[in-house]
Formats: sequence, C-alpha cells, structure tokens
Amino acid sequence: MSPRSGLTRSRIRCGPPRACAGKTACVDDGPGARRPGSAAGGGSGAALVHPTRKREADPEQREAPVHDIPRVAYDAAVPRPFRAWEAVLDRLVDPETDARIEALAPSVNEYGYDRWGASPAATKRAFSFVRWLYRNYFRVEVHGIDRVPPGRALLIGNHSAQLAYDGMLIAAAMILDAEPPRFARAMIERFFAVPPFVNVAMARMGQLIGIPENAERLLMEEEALVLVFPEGERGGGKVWRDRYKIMGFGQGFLRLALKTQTPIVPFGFIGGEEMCPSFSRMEPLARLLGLPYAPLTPTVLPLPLPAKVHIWFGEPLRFEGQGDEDDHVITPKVRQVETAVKALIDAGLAARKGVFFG
Amino acid sequence: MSARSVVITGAAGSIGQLAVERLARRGFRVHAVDKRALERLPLGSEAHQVDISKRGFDDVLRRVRPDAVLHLARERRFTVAARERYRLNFEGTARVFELCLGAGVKKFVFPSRHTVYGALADNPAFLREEHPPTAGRTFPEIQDLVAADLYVSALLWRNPEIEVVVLRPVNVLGPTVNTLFSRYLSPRRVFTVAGYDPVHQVLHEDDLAGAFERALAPGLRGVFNVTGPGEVPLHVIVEESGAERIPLPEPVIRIVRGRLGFAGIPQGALDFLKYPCTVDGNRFREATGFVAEHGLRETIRSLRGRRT
Repeated sequence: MSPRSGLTRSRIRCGPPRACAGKTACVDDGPGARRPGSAAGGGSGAALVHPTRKREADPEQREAPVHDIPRVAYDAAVPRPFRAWEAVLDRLVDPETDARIEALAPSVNEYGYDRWGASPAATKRAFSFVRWLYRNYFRVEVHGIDRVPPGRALLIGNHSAQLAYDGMLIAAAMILDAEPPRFARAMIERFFAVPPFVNVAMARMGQLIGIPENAERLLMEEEALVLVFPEGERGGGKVWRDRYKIMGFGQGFLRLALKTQTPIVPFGFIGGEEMCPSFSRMEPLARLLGLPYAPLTPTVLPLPLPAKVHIWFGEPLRFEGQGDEDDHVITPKVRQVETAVKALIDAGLAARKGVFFG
Repeated sequence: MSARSVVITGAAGSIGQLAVERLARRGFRVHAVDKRALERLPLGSEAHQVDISKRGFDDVLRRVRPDAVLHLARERRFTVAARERYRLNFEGTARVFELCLGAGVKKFVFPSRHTVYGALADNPAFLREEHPPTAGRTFPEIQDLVAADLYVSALLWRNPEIEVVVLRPVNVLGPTVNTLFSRYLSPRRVFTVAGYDPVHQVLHEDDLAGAFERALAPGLRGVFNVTGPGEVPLHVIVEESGAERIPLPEPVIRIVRGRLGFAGIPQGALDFLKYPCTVDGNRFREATGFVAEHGLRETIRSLRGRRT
C-alpha cells in the first residue's frame, strides 16, 4: 500500500458523458463511494492515492470547489482546438468500457491524473476503440483468466505482432474479461519515451517504460498487475520463420519477482504472429530511422490483419529467493517460465481451428 | 533555554526572505546575511550586509556563533559567466562550510534542487536520493549547482561532527518566489514542447519554508528530496496558473525563447519540458513528519497572483 494512503483521498469519477452532459465532473468523494471492483483489494488502481489537503485557506478556493472541474478541460498534450474532439470522443465511450474502467476505482488527483500521469478519462476514450478491436476485429478468446491471482502479479508471455498489439489486447482482456477487472501496467520499450505524442499517449494510458524501479514500485506500493514481455524487441520484431518461437527471455523479470515475492502468471498469446507477419527487420533502414527494427509486412505499414486471437493463461508460478543470486541460480528458473509459456503456446496452437476463424 | 540562532545567507533573495520571515516567526534568532540591501526584516532578526566570499562574513560568523547556518546564497542568473557562478555557488559554498567548522556551528542546511537529477527520457519515476545527479549531462548550465550539491553531500561522512542536511525540493511555486520554473510560467503566453507533457511535482513556497524549519531540527542529517502535494502533467500547471499554453515544436522554441513575450530559458532546461524528473519524498516525510500544507490546486493557482 502506498505510504500516502492514509491521507485524504479525492477521486474523480470519470463518469459517462451522458450522465453529466459536459457541464462539470461527475464526482464522488468519500469512503462510501468505492466501486465494487476495488472491494477485493485486487484492483491495481485501488492503491493509487493522491493526497489533497487544506484547500480552505485561500478564499478564492472556496469560490471554485475542487471537484468542480470541467470534464474535458485537462486531458492530453494537445492544443485547445483538439479538446473539442475529446468532447466528441467522450460521447463515444461505450458503457461497458466506462463501467469496467470505473470498476478499477482509479484514485486520481483533482485534475484526473494518477501519480504516474495516467488519465482514466483518456484510457476510456482509447479503450472504447480497443474494445471494438478486441471484440469484433480480433474476436479475442481468453482461457483461464481466473488464474491471475488478486494482488500483485507479473504477467509474462510471448511477444509478437511488431507493434505491441499483443500488449494492448492483454490489457484489454484484463479490463474487459477479468473478474474483477484489473489494470495491467505494461513495461514498454524505453524507445517509446522519446518520440513526441507517442510518449504522452503511453503515459496517459498508464503504460510505463520498463525500468526495474518502476515495476518494483508498482508491485510493492500499489499491488499492481505488471505486464512484461521478457523477449523485448527480439520477440516483438521477430520474422515469420521464427513465429511462435521464444527468442530468449531476459532475467530481469525473474529477479524482480524474487525480490518482490511476486507470483508469475505465464500466458501464451496466439494469433499475434499472423496478425502482423514480418519478413524482414530491415535493420540497415531501422538504424537509419533510429528504430530497433523496421518490419517488412504485407500491409506495408505494420497494420494488423484480423487474425483470431486466443490468450491462454497458466497457473501462477512462485519462486523462492532474494533476486540477487548468481546467473546459474536464476537461469533455470527463467527456463522454467519459458517452458510454461511454450507449453501454453503449443496447447493454444493445437486447440485453434484456423488462423482467422475458429 | 535560549532561542536557537540561525544565519541565513542569501537572505535578500526571494526564498531567503521567505526563510527569514518563517524562522523569525517560529522563534529563531535570525541573522540575515546578503551582499544586497536587506529591508523589512521581521522583528528580532538582525541584518548583516556582507558578501559571503569576503572577510566581513568571517567576522559575522565569529561574532554570532550561530547554532545553524541555512546556506541559500546562489548565483542563479544564466546571464552571469559560468566562472562567476562557480565562484559563488561552488567555491562560496565550500568557504561557508569551512567557516562553519571554525565557528563551531552544529548544523549546516544546504537547499539544492530536484533538477540536479536531470530530466531524461529513461528516468525511473520517483527518483530516490541515491540516484546519481546527472543533470550536468544534459543541462551543463547548472553544473556548478550539481557540483555544490555533491560536495555538500560528501561532507556528511567527511565531517560527521556537523549535522549536514541537503534538501532537494521539487518545483517551488508561489506568489513571491523567483525561480527558473516560476519565470518560465510567468508570461501571459507560455510555450510547451509539442508532443511532450511530462509529469511535474510542485511545492508551495510556504511549504518550502516549512521544510527549512524541519531541516533545522536537531538530530536530522542526510540528503532529502522534498515533495509537495502531488504530481500533474505540465500542461495542467501552465493552464491552471492562468497562462495561455502554446505548444510549439522544439526547433521553433529554440528560436522564440526569450522573444515574442516568451520566457528565455536555457537550452538544457528544455529537457524538463519533455522528460520527467520526479522524485520520491518519502525519506524526508518519514524522518521529519513533513507534510505539505498547500494542496495541488492551491499551489498551482498561487501563481495567478503574479499575473495582473
């Protein structure tokens, strides 16, 4: 639990736009207002607490109550004219996404941000579209999602699909299909922190660059669900002939799991290789563009084909240790997780009837 | 027990004035030192118009023999030659500390800034005090301040007979305080770097004064980040402070900064508008019980008083 949790909370409910017609924030504040999803204590958003104190001192503050925030006034790093689009997008937020993200009970400050810079309102806008992709385009089926335990956990699996569509769909699965919904925080490539706009979009949706300190803080202070692809760009940018092959897991996730005593939930992601096959990493071009790889895909731009997606979750793996052991102690444990993921992939491939249907 | 006496250097500066007023109100016998004229000092405090790098300051310390020194004197203007800045900020700090040793001062409080860590794309969120202050890499203009921070931090083990406290507060905002960040936010129209919106932490100037008071408590020593009521993306700070936000591409900012009514900020400071530099203030909170009294909204809106 965050050390700040003892302080006053202020949570803005980013409610459906229909309910508050763009006037002011739908607000609730106080212990009675907790959403059902947070009651289990498993909601990763539950511990995101921001202190807000002593607003009475300034007479000006009284005129403008803290919760009287225009809903669309503060959201993305975009010029004002684009805010109108945000208002439009707010109206397009579908009720399911809205309710499920509400159920995460995001604890945000009076401006609607958590301490990492994530915005539930922006997440809703983005996930309303992601939900359509999830349900209608990729027709994602999850298997064994109830194996994800409450409390902190590391989701570890195979990476594919060139542009982290797999990460997006796993986050969507945890929001849309897990009971109660969970907010999966992906540890993304450091590369994404640099390009303009992309870095802001990632931050607003709660995705953080993959630095051990960030993951440790999320796990220990917020009991979060952290998504890691230990293959990194080796997995994300792999070419067609290597499909469903594990490109070698790094050790970082396992050391983190040992240090923080966090269970590892392995998963196999099926369909990622077919949705965005790449025939070359075009490394000379990638170097020229400053990218880790430049995929050569049938769709030219790495846009995904409507492959059917299955996500298979395995039983949580728990390891004993401190996290600072020698490599020869860590490596067998990493292999054990790799084997678990490989088994889920093999089972998933055997069970599916076709790439695009079934 | 007699009141504790404290020498405050740089007392004529905006933060110095806050410190003098606060500590005098809390019963300290304040000796305000600055080479500039000291006016409107609170009752019970004493002004010493001397330069800390001149002999006159030695006499003040020898005569006053304070319990503590709050060393705030800095040259922060970027228009001043780097050599001059080093002379005051680094060598001046070393000199003041040596004099403190000679005068039997029991406590030396050195307020630094969170900016010493530097804003880097791959900074972890909420840097702890152990994180290396790497600002010199991307913000060479403040190398002198980074050097001074590291120098004083090293005194913790080199001179254990004196209680050294290094404070690294986050962006200080308020109606009177004059920092690079508050100057950046002061114009009617404030640029941000298009496509970037890093999370920033803020602290009200009164809370900074409160942190000084806590730092002066006997027994406390160490390096501490000081955080305020929370963190928000930069665009919220700009807009909530009452300014009009103009997102511009970085190459354009290089041309317009200091012109067209925009604030002139050094090249190295642009990184703070692009990448995060947030710190973890738990150590100070746990060691002293410090809690910022001003909320997020109140802190940011305190800038509105400056715009008329």
